[in-house]
Amino acid sequence: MIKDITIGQYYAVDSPIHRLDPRVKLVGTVLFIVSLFVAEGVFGYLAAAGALAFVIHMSRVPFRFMTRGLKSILIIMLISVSFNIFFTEGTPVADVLILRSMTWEGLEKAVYMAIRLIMLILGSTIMTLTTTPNALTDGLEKGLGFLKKLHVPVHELAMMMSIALRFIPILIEETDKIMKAQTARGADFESGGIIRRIKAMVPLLIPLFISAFRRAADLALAMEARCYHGDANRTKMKPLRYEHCDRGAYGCMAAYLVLILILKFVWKGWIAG
Amino acid sequence: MKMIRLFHLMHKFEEYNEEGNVSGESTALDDVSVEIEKGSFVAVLGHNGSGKSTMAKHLNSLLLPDGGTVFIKEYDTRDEAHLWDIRQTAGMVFQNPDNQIIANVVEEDVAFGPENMGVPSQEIWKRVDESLKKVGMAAYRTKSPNQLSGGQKQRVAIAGVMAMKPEIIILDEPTAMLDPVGRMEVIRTIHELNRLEGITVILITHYMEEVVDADRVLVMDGGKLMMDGTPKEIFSRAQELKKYRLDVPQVTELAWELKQEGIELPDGILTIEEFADALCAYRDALK
Ligand SMILES: Nc1ncnc2c1ncn2[C@@H]1O[C@H](COP(=O)(O)OP(=O)(O)OP(=O)(O)O)[C@@H](O)[C@H]1O
Ligand SMILES: [Mg+2]
Repeated sequence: MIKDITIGQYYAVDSPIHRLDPRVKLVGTVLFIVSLFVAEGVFGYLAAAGALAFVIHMSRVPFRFMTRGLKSILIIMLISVSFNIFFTEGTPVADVLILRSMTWEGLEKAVYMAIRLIMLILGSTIMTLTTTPNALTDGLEKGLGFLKKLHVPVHELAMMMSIALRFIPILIEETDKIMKAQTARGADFESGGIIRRIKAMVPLLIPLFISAFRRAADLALAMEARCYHGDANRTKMKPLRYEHCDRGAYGCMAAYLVLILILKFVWKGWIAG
Repeated sequence: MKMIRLFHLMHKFEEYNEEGNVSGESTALDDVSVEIEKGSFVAVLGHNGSGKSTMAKHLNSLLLPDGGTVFIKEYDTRDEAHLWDIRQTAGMVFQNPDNQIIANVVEEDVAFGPENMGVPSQEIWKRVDESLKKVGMAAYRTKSPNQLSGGQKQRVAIAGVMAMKPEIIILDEPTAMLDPVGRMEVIRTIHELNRLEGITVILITHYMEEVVDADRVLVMDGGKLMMDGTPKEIFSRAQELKKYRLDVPQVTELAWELKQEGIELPDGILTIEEFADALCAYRDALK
């Protein structure tokens, strides 16, 4: 049913990656993405692929869960790959038909581009597969805590995110209910052109908005009654604290970055030499 | 010791016309004075719009008096310096179970109050354990609130209040959205907390059956406190209750009707057991 949709795509198993501090995973993901753009040459990409394979293996998430995310970007990937193939200057592949507008340089670029995109998606999927939305919110709040000095309301944003996570399933269920109630009164959400369908959504959205505002008012009152007053003097039941394995993970990341950089310069030297 | 003291409490809401300008005032609470003893179980009855919820919000500083004074223990609710003391002392449970659970995991929701109060982590864990045990929800601590029944959610909400170590719990129609089983669970939990922990309970309800076990009943109408007494006293005055558009419990009604027909039963029968006993006594007297 409609309310069974889960948010995020957390895959619940126990693994060293699951147990890592969410901040480590956030930093790791960002670093990995950066490294993909820094890396150059076969060896650089091999190193990145190796690191990715290692983390995937450690996470104990079946590989087919990872590849789900890839389907959604298939189109984007095809477009960018063909652009690269056809619009890069260089030597044509062959002198027949369509192959005339393809270049060897373009092919090479396209292959790198595809690999880069695939690894980028896989890398960020690992984070969402191994981290609960809650942990992610906590990680963002603490990890971006330094932005508070710049008057960015980090705590408030994190609180909003976690409340949204709590209420999305409730509102989805409510939408379902209202939809049924309106259908029973003769509303038709399924037929007609796009304009008609959008119009049909109005009697759905208005009650939904009203109810959402009422819920928000109720919730605000309940939070106030429980002494909520922002993050001043607030403590946490589960404060984030770095453990040995988190420090180890940071160490591994540093080593990985150094490796990527070395390989890049070696490759450049090799090309030049 | 008096936990709650209201002196001539007044509350007015501004009324708005269609342009959104203030067009007048409506009096939601009109000269309400009452004192509530520590450890007592007080039920508040009243027709829709009689001012029950408004009064409840005054006990938690969610609303401030337009006239008169409210004391929670020794704190005046208008005293901002004690705002957090007041909200910690007098916990609130609301009607809609979904709209008062904040976190995505049961135990984290229970921890929300203590977190706001700045309680150290280890102490929070202890309080969460204890509170969940007290409401019988310890087995569900890592569940998502969306997987719980209404009665269970309400018990989590009560645990969330208990974790703040309150002395008073105010429940505003906590069972209105629950099925009979959920209602029973919640009412039993409240009674246990009252009996075992000595928590002062203010229970606002529309269900007469939930009132009969209270120590004291307050009846409100039109923003005024109209009746104040034990359940027995209050339900013996069925005629007066009707005037305030309230019913008596069904057995009480039945006993009253029988009495009108000439069957001699005592006044103020509140439970089925009492009713059965009275009928038996009547039968024995006839013999
Ligand atoms: N926010 C508000 N703005 C304006 N008027 C209000 C507001 N809240 C309540 N009132 C009015 O104050 C009066 C008392 O309302 P209150 O909610 O306290 O009643 P209640 O006894 O809790 O009713 P119910 O049994 O329906 O919950 C009502 O006439 C209501 O219309
Ligand atoms: Mg009310």
